[in-house]
Amino acid sequence: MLRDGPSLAGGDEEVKPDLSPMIDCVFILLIFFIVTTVFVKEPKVAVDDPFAQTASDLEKNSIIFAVTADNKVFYDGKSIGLAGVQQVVTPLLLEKADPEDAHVIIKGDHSAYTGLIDDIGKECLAAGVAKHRITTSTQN
Amino acid sequence: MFGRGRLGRDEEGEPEPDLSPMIDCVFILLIFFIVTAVFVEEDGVPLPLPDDSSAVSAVQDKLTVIFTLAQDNRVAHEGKWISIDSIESIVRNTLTQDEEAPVIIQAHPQAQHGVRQRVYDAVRLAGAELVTFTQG
Repeated sequence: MLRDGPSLAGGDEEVKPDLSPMIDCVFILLIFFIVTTVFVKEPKVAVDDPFAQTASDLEKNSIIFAVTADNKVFYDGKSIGLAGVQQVVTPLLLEKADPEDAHVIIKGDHSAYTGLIDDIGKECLAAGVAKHRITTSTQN
Repeated sequence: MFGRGRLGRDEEGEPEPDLSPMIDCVFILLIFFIVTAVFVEEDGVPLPLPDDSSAVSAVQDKLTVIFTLAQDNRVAHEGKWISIDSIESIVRNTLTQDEEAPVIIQAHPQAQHGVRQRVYDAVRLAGAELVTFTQG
């Protein structure tokens, strides 16, 4: 501010603060959010996850299916049914550079049928998802 | 451009470009990415589906622990109904004889997912590594 004191222009214009540090800061934030943003499609249905003490953090960038208490399979807010699982997974696997990297999370309601959960897992296996990358969500 | 940047600190008096539109633009991008960033925090456990060949070899292992989950969500082990609380001690006992004893959780397709997860959790807490879900 002191340096700006004797204004060269001399007019009645106000002295402008130096904006560069703020712009730098905003750019860093911007780059951070661009890099960390993953567009995960959430099932958008309420599911009461079962409780588990042995749970661990799941991969953030995953394909998420939800199975509701009345045994409907949801993906991205739509009920797709068991037959729709492969139709969802197959194109998403093609987008991946390495299909082995694909993760699937099945958010099963605690009163959903085990048979349906297993069938979704089997559909994912048939679509080419690696066995150890199919998980079910829980709450801690 | 006219008359604006004259106020610059540098003595040569070079006109500085007006940065405000760019800053506006960057702010809009920033807000967009902040709003769309979803931090999905999911906890979970693996879904150990049977691998046909390993399921066969597991059944041949004498020390295989099998829990059966009936349609009405009761748990059976060696022909007796048991409570979920006793699963951990049963698995622990077997693991003292063989650390790699496989555990099979055989669930009726209409048993509740939450109950099977509780059985699975108890088995994992007991320290079993080889767990498989089968249907029955």
